[in-house]
Amino acid sequence: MKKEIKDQGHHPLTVPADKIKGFLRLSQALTACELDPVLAGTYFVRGQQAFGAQFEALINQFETLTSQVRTPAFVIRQHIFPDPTLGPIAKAILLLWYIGAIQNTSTGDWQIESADDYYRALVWDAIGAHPPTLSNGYFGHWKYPPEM
Amino acid sequence: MTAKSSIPTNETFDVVIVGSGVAGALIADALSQDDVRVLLLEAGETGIERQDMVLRWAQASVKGLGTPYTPSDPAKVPGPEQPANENDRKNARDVYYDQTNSPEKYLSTYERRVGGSTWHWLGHTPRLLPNDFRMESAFGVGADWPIRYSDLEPWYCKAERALGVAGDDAEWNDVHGAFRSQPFPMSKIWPSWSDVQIARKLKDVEISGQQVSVLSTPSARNSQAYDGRPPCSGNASCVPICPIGAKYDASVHVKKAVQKKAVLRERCVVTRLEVEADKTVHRVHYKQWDGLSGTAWGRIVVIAANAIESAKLLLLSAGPNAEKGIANRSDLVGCNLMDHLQKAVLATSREPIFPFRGPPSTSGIETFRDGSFRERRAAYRLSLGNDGWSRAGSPYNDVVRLVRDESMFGADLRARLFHDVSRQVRISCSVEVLPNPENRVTLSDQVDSFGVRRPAIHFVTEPYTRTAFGPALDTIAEILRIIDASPVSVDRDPLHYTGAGHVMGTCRMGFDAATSVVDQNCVSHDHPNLYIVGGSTFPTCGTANPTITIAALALRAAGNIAATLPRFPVLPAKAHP
Repeated sequence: MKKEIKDQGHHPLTVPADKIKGFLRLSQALTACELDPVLAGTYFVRGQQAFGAQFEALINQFETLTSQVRTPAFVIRQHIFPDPTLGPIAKAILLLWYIGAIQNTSTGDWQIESADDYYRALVWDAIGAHPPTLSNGYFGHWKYPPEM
Repeated sequence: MTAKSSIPTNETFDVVIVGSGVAGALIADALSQDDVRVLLLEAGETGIERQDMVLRWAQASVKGLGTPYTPSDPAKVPGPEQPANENDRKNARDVYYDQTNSPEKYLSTYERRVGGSTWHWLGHTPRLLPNDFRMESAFGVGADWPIRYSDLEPWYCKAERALGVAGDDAEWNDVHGAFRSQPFPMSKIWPSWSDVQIARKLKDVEISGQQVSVLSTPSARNSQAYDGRPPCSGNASCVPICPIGAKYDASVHVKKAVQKKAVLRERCVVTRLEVEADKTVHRVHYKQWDGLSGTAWGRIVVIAANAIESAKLLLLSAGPNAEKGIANRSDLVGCNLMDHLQKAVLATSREPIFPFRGPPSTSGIETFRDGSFRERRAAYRLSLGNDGWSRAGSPYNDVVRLVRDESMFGADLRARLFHDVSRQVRISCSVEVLPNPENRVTLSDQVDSFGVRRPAIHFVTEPYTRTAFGPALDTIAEILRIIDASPVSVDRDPLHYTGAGHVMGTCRMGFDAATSVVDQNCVSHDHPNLYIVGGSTFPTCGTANPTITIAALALRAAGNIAATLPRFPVLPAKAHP
């Protein structure tokens, strides 16, 4: 039978490594998690597609302000989130890491691009669980509290 | 299990079965042998491999119940979960059912595919209770079944072995008089951490004068390797799909039947049955997805679609020898459509209970499923959720709220998310619905995308059911108080309910041809070689998830079919292919 599932591959990396590094630094400040650089490359492209020039403006602003001896958390709290343009984009990037999807502003639907994005969403680990359909567990593990 | 693209249009079989869900699959498996030729006709298809269905669901932006099961050509087998046009997925039910003139909307749905809706069922298998079979005698409401619990009990045991039910015999023997003659074939699915905490706090507690007990829910979900399938590893996705086949689905018995040389013909939408002058029904006409038409001839014909599709097919078959439709001398085909109506109460626990792990529900409270109150109002069953507030969009909605509304990020976000979600509690009630002839499936004037008339549904709840929501919600509130959890909000409007996916009624079983459609063996009162099986035959529905009763009745009917088959002649030899 003909397979109907798309390949689960990432976007080709078409952006310079230093830009992705800047995006990764911003993402790690937003999530306080160690993040996969390869997935960061994928999400960089998605951010570009979704938010255009403002996306790179966000990264540049974060890089500039954090180079001025301010902590990343301070920069996000005091400068990025309050910014009427950059704040919503930064929150969308944070949600992309947590949910694996970006919300379509016209339909309200969350757009996910691959099963990999679904399985690697940070929310599941944060709540002590796992993405449904992939527990990686043994029979009965739900009888006990999660190992955090 | 792939259909041929071109088939003979006249074939003879000993038994022709319409529908490959749990009832049809079990009967096909039970009857198939070298000298009994069985044909399974299925409107849907087998589709892609299980793992590919899982990936399809995982990568879908809109994750619906039917997302894993999108047919290769949805226009050929539209259904309440499968829109002909993907843009209609969010309202597929309303595109398929014609409920224009219905006071309330019938909310439950099903899959049209090989294995049927058991692909997306939760897997719970509580039996009906003795009084569920004698509602009219015991309480003066509803109807009596032509069989009693004791008649079906041996078949429940066989069904539990066939599906592979995990359960605790000591807990379940004699619940409300439902004795068990044999143990479950495997030990219970372990209760969740949350279940254990709630059960401990409810120990020796009385509510409404009754001792409340939390029982592990029997489930057709492996607690150990069974029948070539692995034990459950708690992937938390029974609905919509078990990724490893630990949960039973009817493809298990379709495969067993095919191995015994049953013929599975998928992508064949049965559009009409034909009545002979002697009132027998042998000819089953169908339309293939590729446009070809076919007719199968069976010594015995078994209708094993669900309660909506079975009724639709019988009504579509109205003709010269059956003016009101097949098996419809009583004019009751399509009547008495039922469901279990549900409400979920979401609450916050003081202590973490760690939801989103394990099967979505592993324990319930059976205390309120029977009692003299059933003279006045419906019984209800309570289930404890392991799925947090997923029905309200958690945990995604929690992240969105914390990030957008509270501007949280970093370690603070992670800690707050854990704090909030790990305390999410769900307790649901499932309320019985009495048979009401006005709750009815008829034929719409509109056709579906394959050119078949759509089911029109009229559905309204009665005071008997509506008044049960109040006591059920009161009980849940008391339980939440005892377990130290605070409800988020409680919607007490009896018209705000959800369906359980338990499509029942429409071809009720009964004592005589005037008041029922089939007899106690699921044989049509009007046609001696026509069997109708599935949830459609339930005269009443109690509060038990219906699948194990469907399976028990199907196995019982299979025994009857085997015994009566010799009564019906084979076609002349020259007509065989």
